[in-house]
Amino acid sequence: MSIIDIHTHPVFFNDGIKPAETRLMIKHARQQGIEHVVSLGDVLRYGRTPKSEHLRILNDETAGLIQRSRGFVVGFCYVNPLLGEKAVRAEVDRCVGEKGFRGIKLELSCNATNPAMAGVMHAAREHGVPVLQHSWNQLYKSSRSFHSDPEDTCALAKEWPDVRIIMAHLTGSGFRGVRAARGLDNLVVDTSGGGPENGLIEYAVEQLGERRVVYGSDYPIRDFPCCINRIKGADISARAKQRLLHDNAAELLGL
Amino acid sequence: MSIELYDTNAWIGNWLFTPTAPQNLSSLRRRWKKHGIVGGMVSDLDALWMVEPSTINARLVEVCRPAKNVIPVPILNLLDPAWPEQLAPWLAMSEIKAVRLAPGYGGWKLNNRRAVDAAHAITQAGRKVVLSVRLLDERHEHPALKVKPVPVEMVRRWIEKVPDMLPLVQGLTRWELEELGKVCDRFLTDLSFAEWADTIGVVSKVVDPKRIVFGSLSPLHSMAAHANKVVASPASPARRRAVAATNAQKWLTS
Repeated sequence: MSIIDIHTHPVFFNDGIKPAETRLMIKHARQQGIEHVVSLGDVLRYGRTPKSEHLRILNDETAGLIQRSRGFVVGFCYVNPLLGEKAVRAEVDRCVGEKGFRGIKLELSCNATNPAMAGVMHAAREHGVPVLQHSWNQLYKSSRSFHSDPEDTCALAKEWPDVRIIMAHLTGSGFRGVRAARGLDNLVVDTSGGGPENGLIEYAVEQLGERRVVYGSDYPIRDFPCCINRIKGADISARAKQRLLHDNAAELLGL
Repeated sequence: MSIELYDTNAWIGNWLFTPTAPQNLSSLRRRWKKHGIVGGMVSDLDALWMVEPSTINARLVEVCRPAKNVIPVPILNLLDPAWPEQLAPWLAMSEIKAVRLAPGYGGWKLNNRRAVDAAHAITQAGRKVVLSVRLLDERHEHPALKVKPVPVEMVRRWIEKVPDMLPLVQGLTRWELEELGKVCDRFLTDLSFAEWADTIGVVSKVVDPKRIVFGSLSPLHSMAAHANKVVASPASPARRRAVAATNAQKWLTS
């Protein structure tokens, strides 16, 4: 079965930036049946709120990966909504419009309910690309002011029904995140992040349907064989596994 | 290439926080068989929280007794002032090869003097000590729970105080293994919470690969996922086989 991994960081705090490291990553991925990985960029290298010049460096690295890998790597454009709509728009136009990136990545600059998200959503809508929002349980945590809880990401999807949202990290979003995602047809949840906790894949497929869950690993923080077998070993139909591991991402990314 | 696995971190019993059905020994063994696991060490989730879990542990021993290649690992709760009374009958049973300590769930701390005394008693009786540092990722545990993992420094000091002991420490992350591996070489570890691209390769840089063992953490974690972390690792076949089963089997019989 061919696999698309929608959540990776081939360059992580500068590791993986050398061409030989890219080749090794691709070799390991291909050994597991992966035909494409989405690179979300080295998102924490410059801290939580990167400046425009930092974003250009990181996104140019992703463009280099796409070129070196001959299309094995698919790029998402990393942006900081707090820089304002004009700056966000310029970077999305540059990466998606000119360099062929296929989505937008949001990390920890601001919470998904922050009004500054409007600029990102306008750009995503106009370019017709999905937005991947980092999400993790933030109940009773002060970090929620900038760190999106799954319920915040779901609120974003509800507010922008014509923009496709990828809620990252099924494990960190948990059963509560899955419940919040019900009824939001423009939102899919990726399976990346955290250990292979039992029952969550099955629960997400049962509650959201097999078209709204998509495989992701969070490589190199996670191990491809472990992440893939979390889905292959899940108690869901063969058809659902095919959708999670490949078809849903292919449709989302236009591959 | 077929690789046999031996599971050092398997559980039966009930876990309240997931919709999965409680695991019993029969369902556990069916899963083992499906994933090429030839046997393992089993504890009971129901014993984790009880001050005096002897009844649960006795039930575990009974269900494991007729099963081949299944070692029951009772949980000792050192919150119990009369803990030596819990421990004594197990040390008299030949099928008990190891005893598990799970401080975060039992409500006690590893820097308690009892942790050293119990480890001494278990080791002197020729049994192994298993320490569960964590069973859950504390970043998203149920909000009613406040179970924290055992700090690495506390693990180091505890090991240092029991010179004859070679414990199996389970549930450490990659970063915690780096921290402990720098200052201590007298422990084995599983990979239930250690993960990175090429997990075995990364952990082998800080822990002698002869001291790395397989543990599924089933039913809390996916057995298929953890098995593939070893079986499909880019490590050499010899190293994969050692991590999969040989290291644990040698440790249990040493």
